[in-house]
Amino acid sequence: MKKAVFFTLGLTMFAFIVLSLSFLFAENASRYDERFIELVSINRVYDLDASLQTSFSKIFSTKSGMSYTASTTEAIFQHKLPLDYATLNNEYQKFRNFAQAENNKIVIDALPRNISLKISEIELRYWQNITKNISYFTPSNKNPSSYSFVLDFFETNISSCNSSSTASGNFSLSVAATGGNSTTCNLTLSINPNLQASVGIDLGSNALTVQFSNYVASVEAINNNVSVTSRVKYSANIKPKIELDSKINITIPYLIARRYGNIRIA
Amino acid sequence: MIDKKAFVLSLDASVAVVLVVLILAGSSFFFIKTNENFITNMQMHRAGSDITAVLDADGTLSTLDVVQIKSGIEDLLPTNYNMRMTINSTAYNYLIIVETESEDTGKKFIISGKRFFYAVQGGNAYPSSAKYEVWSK
Repeated sequence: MKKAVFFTLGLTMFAFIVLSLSFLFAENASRYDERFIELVSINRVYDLDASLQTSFSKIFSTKSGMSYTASTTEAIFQHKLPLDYATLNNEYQKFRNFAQAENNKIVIDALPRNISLKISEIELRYWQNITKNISYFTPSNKNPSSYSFVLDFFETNISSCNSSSTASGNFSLSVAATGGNSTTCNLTLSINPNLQASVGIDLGSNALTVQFSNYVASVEAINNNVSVTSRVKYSANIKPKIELDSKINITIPYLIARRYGNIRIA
Repeated sequence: MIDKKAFVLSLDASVAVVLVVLILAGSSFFFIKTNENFITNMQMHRAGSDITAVLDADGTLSTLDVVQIKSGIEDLLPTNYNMRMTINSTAYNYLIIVETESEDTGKKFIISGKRFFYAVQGGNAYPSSAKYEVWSK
């Protein structure tokens, strides 16, 4: 008789243990639902953000007249001075308005008047002052090992070119320019990167100046039609990632998912 | 006396077995319920998101062509799911709807998401968006 009671009690205890385990699993299941909502929200924000960045990257590659590539040791920017800001801004604005109208939780910065691109790892900022027709290269984290500018003035003749530097050093600044009637200007300076240097190109009625001081370089053009290819070399490895310094902000209300950051264009 | 004992023992054992079976059945219900929704729903979500991303990357969405987009979806969508894609593009003043099956989803669980894309056609480009909805058959 006692054996039977123990048997029943034992079996019942075992059943209750299984039942408690199942409750634990059920409790876990409800947590899975919460995790599911979180994961889906994060994925939705990621999809929206990634697709917006790809779209803006396409707008830049098709409408800016600029091209930009980066490898692990070099960043190359090609563009014309002056930049066709109006066409680029028009397309950018069209897409921005469309995305914000589709989803009021998406906020995209307007395209800055002075466009600024940066390689995030080394904080090299390339930016254009539209009104003054100047391109700047401003490193703020790691300094480059050389700058090289290839300029094409198309039909405009190069009258003369000159350079000035206050002291020699091991930093390379080179300018190779081509003008009409096979006129050229090729200068390579070995300079002290902490001091000033400049290259001036005389185009008759216009002029172009490459200024350098403390690793910051600028191309200042008065001429309205010049193609510029700028190469910035690094001795250390860099991550080939170029961002437009303009931000996208996406939030999903009541949930934790949010993304706020620059627009990656390459 | 012996008969009575035997009867009580049998009754006791039967009640215990019935009780255990009932409890185990209840428990298995909770065990089964635990994982099925999470995995299925995540898979549906990934399917919708990935298919839209692939169609965007290979330029199919950019065509804004119903036949090409439907063919692309059918190539990529697992057979046990249905998918509807609603495309809003500034190229047209109406919505483009592509679906694998025109069925009423009823009370089925639907996963949805959205991607933006830049539809380049000829020399023109149009801001566009694709909203996807996926549900099981």
